[in-house]
Amino acid sequence: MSELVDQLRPEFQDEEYRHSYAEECLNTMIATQIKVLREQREMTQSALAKKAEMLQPRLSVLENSDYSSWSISTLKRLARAFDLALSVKFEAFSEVVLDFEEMTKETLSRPSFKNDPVFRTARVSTRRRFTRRHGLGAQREALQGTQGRLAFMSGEVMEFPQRTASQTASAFGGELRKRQEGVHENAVGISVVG
Amino acid sequence: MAKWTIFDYVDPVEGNLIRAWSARLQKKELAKLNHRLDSLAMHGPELIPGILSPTGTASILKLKIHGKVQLRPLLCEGPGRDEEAFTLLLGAFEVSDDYVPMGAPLFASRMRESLVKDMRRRVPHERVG
Repeated sequence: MSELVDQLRPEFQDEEYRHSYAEECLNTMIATQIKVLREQREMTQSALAKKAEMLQPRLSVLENSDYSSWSISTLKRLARAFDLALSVKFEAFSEVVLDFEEMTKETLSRPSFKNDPVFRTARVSTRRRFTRRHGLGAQREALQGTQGRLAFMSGEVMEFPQRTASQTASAFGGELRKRQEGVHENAVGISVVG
Repeated sequence: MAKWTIFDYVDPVEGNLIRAWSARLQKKELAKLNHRLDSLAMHGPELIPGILSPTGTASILKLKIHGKVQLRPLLCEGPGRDEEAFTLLLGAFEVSDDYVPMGAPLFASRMRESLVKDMRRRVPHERVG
């Protein structure tokens, strides 16, 4: 059970409160991920700024959790500089909160294309096709018990976030998956993915 | 969840002024404040860039929370030895580059000094939701 979710459950009944809280999660997670990705690549702010065609002071502003005026075009430039894809999606509040709670350097790190295990191997994993057919919830169920590690047929091992579907479901009294199937209010999640 | 403990300074006469300050905030500001405090409690001062800012007064830090109302809660690390904790000392705002109340970091510094002398002058953070 997530202590944070328990604490937020009554507070999130207020619409303005939950949207403000989720927006702060977004700001914090983007700024933190930019810093983590830069450090993962052992780049200075100046080096990353040059690669993203911006000035270093501008990058310094973006790498601060106070910043809130994100634009997709700026994030695309950073994604390009990291050699990553940018993923923008609408998200349930529960997912945003759990992602925020589990945020670590490890969960925010992403491999560049040249280190992406899926594209480094000759045989493509069936993960993507499985996800398309059965949805993310089913994928997470499939990962349950693997302790976040999935061995590919080629011998490559890819790290996945530790949270499983059952943990997610238990954190929300088992209602999350029901809600995922219906129409519900969403927060916006933006992440840079490998 | 929490790796770091958050405390509120308790004034010997007026009680928990942090709680009283928080209770006067609008829901939007309150959500931002609670998010910052949750961030600090869960992730500490290292992971999130810019979560804590110096004030220019020794040992006194601030959380910068932007919005129509600029919240600047003042806090200190510890102040106990070898504890992973922060103590909220004073609820403040920033208006036109000045603190409200004026000289807030100095007030906070005095509160910290009195806390160092008597560590009973704090309680676990009383969250207003």
